[in-house]
Amino acid sequence: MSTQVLENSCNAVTDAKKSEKKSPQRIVSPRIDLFETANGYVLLADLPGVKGDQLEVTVEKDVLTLAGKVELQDREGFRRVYSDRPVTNYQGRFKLHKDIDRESIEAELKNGVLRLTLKKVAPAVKTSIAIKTS
Amino acid sequence: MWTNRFHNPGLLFGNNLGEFKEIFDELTSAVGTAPRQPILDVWQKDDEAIVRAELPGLKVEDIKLTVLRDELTLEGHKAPETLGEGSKYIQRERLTGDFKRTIKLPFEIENGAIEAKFTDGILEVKLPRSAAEKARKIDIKLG
Repeated sequence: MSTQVLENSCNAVTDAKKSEKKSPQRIVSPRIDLFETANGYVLLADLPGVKGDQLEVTVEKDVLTLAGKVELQDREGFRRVYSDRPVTNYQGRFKLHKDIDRESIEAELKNGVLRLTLKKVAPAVKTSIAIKTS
Repeated sequence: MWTNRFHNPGLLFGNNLGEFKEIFDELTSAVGTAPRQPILDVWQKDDEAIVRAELPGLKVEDIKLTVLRDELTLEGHKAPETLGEGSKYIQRERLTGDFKRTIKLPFEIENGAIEAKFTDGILEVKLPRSAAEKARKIDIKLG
């Protein structure tokens, strides 16, 4: 399974490089912070310029994918005189570990930062089974 | 003429990588990691310039803009995320700390007419050319 995912990822890199040659668009991984909380994890991803309707967060099997687009404003009449090359496409893929509950992932986008709250699966409760004796 | 003089006297963003534990495996899917902030872009026409800066996660009160003649200085501070009790970092890539960048424009800026807005972690500043400077410019006719 993970081999398959890695293969897909490699294709994505190749595609990204191809598309970068054609246009000035850049696809980069966002900078992230990840921390463990009392009952799960919080992932923060910097996505400056991404609006809510331009962000997609998906979970498929073990892989969480986030993809965000930035629409750069058209500056008619202006010429660009300096550029650190702003990012127009963000892409991040994360393999989720087994203790993360896929169903309860929450996502919030604020000030260009995505906050994903991931809860741990409730630990299995040990139950005793009564054994009937005849 | 655009002199392309950009000072970067104190980009002090730290990059403290915390303890790494494999809770998440980040799968490479992009061509690189986002560059260090603040990323700047500057557009210009004869009587106006626009500066765009990427400042994700900052609050308006953490950003300071000052203008002196033909220079715009953008500075600020990004505090690290406050974690709740019992929380700990596993991975830290987002930049924190102080930053300062000065942008020199080819004209003096009209102080009272600067417009700045901050949306989705992007700061955009419109800097009109000073009216006094426009008035000082004398066209020389060919005799």
